[in-house]
Amino acid sequence: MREEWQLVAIYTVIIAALVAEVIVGSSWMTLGQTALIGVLVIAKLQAALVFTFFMFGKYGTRSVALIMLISVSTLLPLFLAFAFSIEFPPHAVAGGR
Amino acid sequence: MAHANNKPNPLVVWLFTTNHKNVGILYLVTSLYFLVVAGILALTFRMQLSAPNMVFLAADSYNQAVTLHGLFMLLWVTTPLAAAFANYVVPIQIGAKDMAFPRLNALSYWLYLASGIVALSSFFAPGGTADWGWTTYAPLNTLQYSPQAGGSLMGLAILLLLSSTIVATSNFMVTIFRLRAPGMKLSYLPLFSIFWLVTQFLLLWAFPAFAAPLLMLVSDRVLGTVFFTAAEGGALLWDHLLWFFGHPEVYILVLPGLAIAGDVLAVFSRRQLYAKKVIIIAVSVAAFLSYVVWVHHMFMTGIHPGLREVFNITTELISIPFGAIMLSYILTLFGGRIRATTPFLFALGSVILFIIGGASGVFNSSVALDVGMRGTFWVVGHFHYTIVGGGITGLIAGLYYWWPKMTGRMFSEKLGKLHFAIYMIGFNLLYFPMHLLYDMPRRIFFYDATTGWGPINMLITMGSWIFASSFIILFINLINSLRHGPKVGDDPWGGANYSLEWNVPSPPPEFNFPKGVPVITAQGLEFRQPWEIKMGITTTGGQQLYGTTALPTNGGSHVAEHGEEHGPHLSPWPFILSIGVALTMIGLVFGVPLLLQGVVIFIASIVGWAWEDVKEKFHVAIEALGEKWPFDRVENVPLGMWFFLFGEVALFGPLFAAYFFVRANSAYTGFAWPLPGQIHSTVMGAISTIILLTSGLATSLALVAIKNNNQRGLKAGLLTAFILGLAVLFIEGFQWAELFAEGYTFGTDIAASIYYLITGIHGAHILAGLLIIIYLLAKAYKGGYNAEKHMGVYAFAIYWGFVVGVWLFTFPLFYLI
Amino acid sequence: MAAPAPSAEIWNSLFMMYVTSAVVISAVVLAILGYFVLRYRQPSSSLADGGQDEPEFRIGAEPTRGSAKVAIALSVILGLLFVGLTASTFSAMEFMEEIPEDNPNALHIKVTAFQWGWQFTYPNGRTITGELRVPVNTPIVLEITSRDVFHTFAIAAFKVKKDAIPDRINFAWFEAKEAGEYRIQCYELCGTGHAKMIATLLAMETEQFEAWYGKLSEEKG
Repeated sequence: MREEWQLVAIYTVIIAALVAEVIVGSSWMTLGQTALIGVLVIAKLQAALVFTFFMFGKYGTRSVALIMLISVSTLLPLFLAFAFSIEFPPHAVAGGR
Repeated sequence: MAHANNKPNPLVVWLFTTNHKNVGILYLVTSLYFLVVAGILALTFRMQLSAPNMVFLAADSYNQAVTLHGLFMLLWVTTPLAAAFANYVVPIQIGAKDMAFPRLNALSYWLYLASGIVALSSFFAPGGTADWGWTTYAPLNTLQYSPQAGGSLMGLAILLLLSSTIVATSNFMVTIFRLRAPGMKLSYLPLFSIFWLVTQFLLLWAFPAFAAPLLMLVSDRVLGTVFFTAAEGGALLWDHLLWFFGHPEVYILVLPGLAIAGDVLAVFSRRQLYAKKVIIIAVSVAAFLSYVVWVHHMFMTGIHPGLREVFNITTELISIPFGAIMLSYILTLFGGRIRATTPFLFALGSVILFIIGGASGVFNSSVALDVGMRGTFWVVGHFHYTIVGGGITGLIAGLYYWWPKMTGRMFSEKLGKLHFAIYMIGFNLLYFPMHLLYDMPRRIFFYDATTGWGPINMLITMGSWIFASSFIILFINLINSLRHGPKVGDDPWGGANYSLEWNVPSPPPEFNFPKGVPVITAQGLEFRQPWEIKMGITTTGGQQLYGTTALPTNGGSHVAEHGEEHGPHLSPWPFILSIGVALTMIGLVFGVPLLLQGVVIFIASIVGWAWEDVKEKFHVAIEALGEKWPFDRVENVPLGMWFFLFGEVALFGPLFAAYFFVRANSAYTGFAWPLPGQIHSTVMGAISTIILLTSGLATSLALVAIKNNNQRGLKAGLLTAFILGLAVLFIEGFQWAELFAEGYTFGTDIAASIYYLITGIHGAHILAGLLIIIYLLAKAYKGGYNAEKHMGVYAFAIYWGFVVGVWLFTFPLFYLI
Repeated sequence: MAAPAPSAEIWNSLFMMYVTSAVVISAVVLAILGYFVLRYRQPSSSLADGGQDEPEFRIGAEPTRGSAKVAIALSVILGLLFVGLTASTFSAMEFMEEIPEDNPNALHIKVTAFQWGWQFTYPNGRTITGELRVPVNTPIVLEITSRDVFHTFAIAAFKVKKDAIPDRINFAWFEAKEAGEYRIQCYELCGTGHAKMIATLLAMETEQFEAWYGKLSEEKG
């Protein structure tokens, strides 16, 4: 039974995180940028819990976790390149459609 | 080849085969056919370019020919040709009886063929096919500028090809990681298997990343979303996502051929590979670097100069690992006893041409020189030297090298050498002069005499004819050898000490190793009987010497033994399913009757396949008893699912990156991104999240239950997950319907487009999950699962967890912030 | 060779530097390869002699051949070479991209690409299609965009190139050193008219340009 209770406990934690996430997200008027970061951090924590317990990542070898980590980090350069393609140069004001 | 119990009809064998060697031959024939098609297209547009003011192809035919040539050579020729050899020899090289999932292997092939047929059929759609060049730059690729339905069909065909590839990739990963012979460490494998494994990692992350922009494109063209027409997305969104896939793709094309070149050089010089460990490290580094160089294709787009400088440096770094590989290849020959046979010559050609291509590539890494080079024939010359020169030439070496193994017959050396001579002359005449045209734009169908480009182009066109004619010699030689070639034994080249495939008959029997299980010990290769391995006897001394793996002790799990009785190595469903998919796609353009037939066949084949499984009619249990590092503790089915999901990360990642890009961009274009709660109800989203999380919990509990052999718990958990999953789909559908009623549709604005695309793809994943639950429940009610045997449930739990995980990001991004 | 523009001049010298290193390195490497093949080549007939020709490799043997020193040496040599090449590239890039915005003499021209042609808008608001007239020895600053699809603006002879992307403005600059006619062409496939998406760059002596520009400004539009 131990495993079942562990899963239920994890589930409860994720739901609690969801509540926190909604509260942080809904107060974006006061928190501004912080709300955005807070929500994404909470989402990542939730996803990590789902990976470890619901996807049984803990039963896989370390190799599975490692490759999952690499899969996610291959996306990092894409986000960075996108970020640096937005700010430079200024967007067209005239001549566009 | 397939010696089933009561020899079935050959047509049935070829259509329904699940044997890796038959699938390999199907891949070989098909990819060579597409090679001829794409080659002939190239000959037509080279004709058009042969002289100034030429009138041979009209502009639109020319553009279509160029586009299809590129797409076919990249997607339907080079990698599938490599996959043909990989299917045939990788299982043998690692010491396995077959692939880990033989039916999925057949499915990969048939989906590949179906996608090729759909792609070719797009030619006959009204208005022709895609005509935007293989790079498919936005917004030329949108309906506004390219309204022909064939373009959309081509997009669908590529998506189908990508799905074929992800299936094959997961399969190869499990096969190479978990089916190796006892004692066969990864580093003992010949380069081809090692590079193929690296290639699989590239495919795993690059191809799904290409699926993301393609899904946007197809939804732009079919549903009317605005990814590539809106200012927030547009050209740069496509550019980044395309090239993020595009550069790893180059190595996907090149690595298998280069690997063959290395193996062939070693075998025919009778020398060990020089610094094999350095080669392995170098290829891994190059694979890693290939994900951080793509911006060199976009040096002229006006993105941040700092970004371009970084990518200039990473691109230059690429030549260090490849330099190390080339140098190791050359040093391999040092002190050897070289036989200059046809395979050796082509391997040599591959190295020579790749070195030249690498040298011209350094130019393209320079952010300053690229001002002159980009979009010119210099680039065309460069990448043909690397991909055709390095990649295809290596694959041709492989074709000659393994031909006697596949057919049991030897080709004519004389014709082979003639082929090589004409091939090299034609190749260099065709591609070298392109470097001199570093001012001539690519993909122009016309130029006038004042440009002075005429004479060089004439030379190139003559080269194209010589190069093409060399292939006629190849085909004559091979076909002739089938009838008249002398028969060969196990090892015509003297490679028996190099890799396993030269230790089995030519062609190999159905399960590859008639003499027993290959075992690699400190003394070399031995063949052992399965019972000896189970007893742990691997040497005459009776001691277990090999390996890092504990012997399988759980005889109750589905560990099959070598020599066990197998069912027929055939299944009709991969073939039938692919017909269904192809008809559905072609029907989208050519008419509803075809479409309906396709859908019916597709659904029927899924039911048939599932039923075959529930009844356990197909058992070709492929489980080796050997090395499984580093996945000793993950069984085949869950591991296959894991790899599939790593690919899914590379699909959803770029979708979320696109969300980030368009949202951040909207601050500059003046588009007001909807405020939280303005369009999507936070409450509804939160309810969906809770329900989905609960279904995730139910699935996990079901898995824990069956691990303890609790049948009722399994059924209850799965049923709960099913109902909750269905509920989420209903809520999503309800929200969509409500938004549509309010006039907030796919094309309303960029925020709507990305919302509908991500939730739509996620919904499709939920739907697929529900179908899997139905299958699992059916099997559970027939008592198909128990404490030892529940890998299907395990794999589903992983999948469902991933679906929940993706939603955990979808919810805040659309409903909360 | 005499380059018609400073950008082409710096490009050419950079190109020659790359050509020299590429040719030297690949020639050395290919010569070594060729020497090995000729030196160690055996008659093909010896393939059948089996036992007399024991290969060095064996399945399951730890790879022992080769030394890491070679790989390290290679990386160091290539690394040094790249430091040199990269430094020259970056300084060339800096020159080619340093937009002379503050230069009071600079002439600012808006370039709009469309299917299929080029429009040039002068500071006086006049727009001309298919021909760009500029004075020699004057920095010309281009603001490049597109009205429809992705195009690439290029003056091949000057080694000036920049993508023309809808909804974005890209900057480029050039300076013609000699009067004459040059070709402006599109370098990205943009539809059936791509091959003929050509405009003429007319570099004129300053006085002639002034005269022409004055007349252009007076014309009623």
